[in-house]
Amino acid sequence: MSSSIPIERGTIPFRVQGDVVSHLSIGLYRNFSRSIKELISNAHDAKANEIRIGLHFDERKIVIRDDGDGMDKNDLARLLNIGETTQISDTINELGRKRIGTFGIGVLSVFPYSETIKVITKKKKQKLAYEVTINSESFFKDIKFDIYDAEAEYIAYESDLDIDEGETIIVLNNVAEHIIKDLEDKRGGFSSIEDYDGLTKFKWYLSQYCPIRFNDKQKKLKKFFNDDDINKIRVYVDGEELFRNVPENVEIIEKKEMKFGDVILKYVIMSPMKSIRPKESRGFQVRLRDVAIGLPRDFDVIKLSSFVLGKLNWLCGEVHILEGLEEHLMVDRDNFFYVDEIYAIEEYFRKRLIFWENKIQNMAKNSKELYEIINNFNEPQIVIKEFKSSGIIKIDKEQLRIPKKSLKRRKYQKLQPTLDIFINTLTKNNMQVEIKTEKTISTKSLEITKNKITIYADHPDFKDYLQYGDNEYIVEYSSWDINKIPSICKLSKNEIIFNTQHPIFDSDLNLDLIKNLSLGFHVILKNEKNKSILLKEIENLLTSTFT
Amino acid sequence: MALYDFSSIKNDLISSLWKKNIMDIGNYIAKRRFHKQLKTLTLTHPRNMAEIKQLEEDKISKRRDIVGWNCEYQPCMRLETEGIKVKGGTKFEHSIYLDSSLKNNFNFDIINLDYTSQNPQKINGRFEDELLSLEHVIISRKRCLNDKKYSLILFTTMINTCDVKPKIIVSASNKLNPHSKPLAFSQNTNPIVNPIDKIDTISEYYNHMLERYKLKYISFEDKTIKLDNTTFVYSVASIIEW
Repeated sequence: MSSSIPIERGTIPFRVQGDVVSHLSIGLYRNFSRSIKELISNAHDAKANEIRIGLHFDERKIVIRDDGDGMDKNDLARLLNIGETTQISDTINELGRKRIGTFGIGVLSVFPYSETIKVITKKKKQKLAYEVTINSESFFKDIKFDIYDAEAEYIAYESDLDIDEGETIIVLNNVAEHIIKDLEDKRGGFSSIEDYDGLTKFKWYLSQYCPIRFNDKQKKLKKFFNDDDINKIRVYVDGEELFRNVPENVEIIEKKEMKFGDVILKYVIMSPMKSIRPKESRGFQVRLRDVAIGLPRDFDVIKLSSFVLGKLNWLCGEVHILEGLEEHLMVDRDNFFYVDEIYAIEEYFRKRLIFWENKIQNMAKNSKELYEIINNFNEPQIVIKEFKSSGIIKIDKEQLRIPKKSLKRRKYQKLQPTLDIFINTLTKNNMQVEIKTEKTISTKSLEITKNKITIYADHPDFKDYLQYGDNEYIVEYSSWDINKIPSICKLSKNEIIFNTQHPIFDSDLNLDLIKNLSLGFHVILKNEKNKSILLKEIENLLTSTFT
Repeated sequence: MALYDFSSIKNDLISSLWKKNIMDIGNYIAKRRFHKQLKTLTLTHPRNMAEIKQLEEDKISKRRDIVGWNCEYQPCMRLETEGIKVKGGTKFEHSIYLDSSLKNNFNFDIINLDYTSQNPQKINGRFEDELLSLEHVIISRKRCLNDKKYSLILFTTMINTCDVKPKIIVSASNKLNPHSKPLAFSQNTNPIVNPIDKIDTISEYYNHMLERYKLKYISFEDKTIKLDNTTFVYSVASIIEW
């Protein structure tokens, strides 16, 4: 496919400023997605509404187009003047955007990845399009930049766009094979982003780094961060629009605006009430001028605190720097230089992480207790559904690792009527509890309104039962002197009463196991001549073995 | 520069004519599959790719199975950012008989010859070339049939005041297949001026190809949209059984 008929030909100088080269290294653009991010930042600064990226694996070609201001010959010369810095400016342009790029090396980002780079650009209010091809391969040797002054040939021709339209198209030709291979990679893990297939990984990184909008589903985030759709750049990969990464089903659990010296920031802390995947999404994403500074981080909270923080991987958040810190940004845009404000900010967010980790741990513990109780109800699914929709239980059962059966007593197991345990757990969750005893049994075991739960105490769900064979026995609790009656329990026709003072209940044995065994022995030996002696022997054996 | 803005016309054609036929061909070729993954060639323009979005939405073609064609270099560059394969930079109606790599790899299930997306100019000979490209498409498709029994061909052209010379069409068509029954229009010699007669020419040509290449039309629907007193867009959707 040949280009349009040229009207003009020439060369544009390709220059490198002073000691910029010393800052450059392959490490600067370790990740291909980050290189593309630089081009997106350039398009953002050029006031583009959208940038479209087309991947052509079989041709080893990537084509990127934005509809920004575009460039004329002089602008191209500035683009190719590597290291020409732009002063940091707080000026907000007509799209409500602050300029992102300052170091003048953004265009270099893609040099290590293709043999040649073609730039086709048309400036708004002008007629001509300029096309320049750069032999990028020659500026990169032995995994190092080897930038030298050169001349890049260009042609100019009449653009088919309207005079008021601008565009810049960048074509990466003969993209490095390992990049194509990586993008085409079809692996299917989900724990870490590195286990994802190549294309998903590429889109994930772009969605994480770039100044794009939140999905329409994220109304609260959009409102809090003034995510004005009209002025945000839209990024498309193979026709699909990218949105900012937000883990599925997250809830905002904290949001604030804060000041640390001259730095003003806004943040949200979120959790989906389960482990966040991929793991790179955990922690806080810091953004300056809406662009990600590195990946989400936990500010070394595990290293610097003495706590075990098991629920840390349930937490994520966004920290948007509104003012300050621009001059402290490192060249790689991954970190800030360590100044007092950074220290204070990191310390603050470490504390917030520990606070929320603890809170979620307690929620998990309470939820486990509730699930265990509700599982014994007649219709546990209905009750669980009600508890979830009223927000009393926020964590799915699958996230809690409730052990099915265990010999060992669970930490929170108590020898109390289910009703008492249930009421205690609800009260701990700050629920108002009302207990009703009705003469006739209610069809429902409980009712939930705003912040109150009404429990119908006579409902069968709150009666404790044990089953042996075809028989059901109501469970009651009492206490008596074991010197007088050494037995663990007393069994009558359809009732079993346990002695809460018996030492077996101080052991590590699972309480349900003790209760079921006791019932079993009593029933089995019911008609035995020496029942009392046998029971005593068995119970003594249990007690001496496990206490 | 285009004489007319064909974007809204395209949207009209998609909803009133093309979409139904696209769904039908999907059912003919891959009835049981949820994602049909048919191969599509479409003459298109980056300013309006509604048919590509429709194909995706209806799960008929994925972007990677779509080839977009535009006759101009700059629109082709822009199409390359859309995740489809792009060919072009030349007129399709010329490439389909000159470019052997295109002819010999013409394995498309859906062929959208939307010439209104190619900046059609008011010049003599354009209509004749576009119409003849239909026969080239039939020949190329037949050569690369494999196991596929059906194809959907959409043909859309601008009919304006330029005279249509049936002699040119007859001569070129008969050269393509000299051993078969020659093409003859009801108006064989004089230039055709009237738009209705031009539309009739297209219908006659379709009938002729049916006989010449032993095709069967499972469906044949058309639509005419008036642009002004002398200019129309005419579109035909036909599902062919080979």
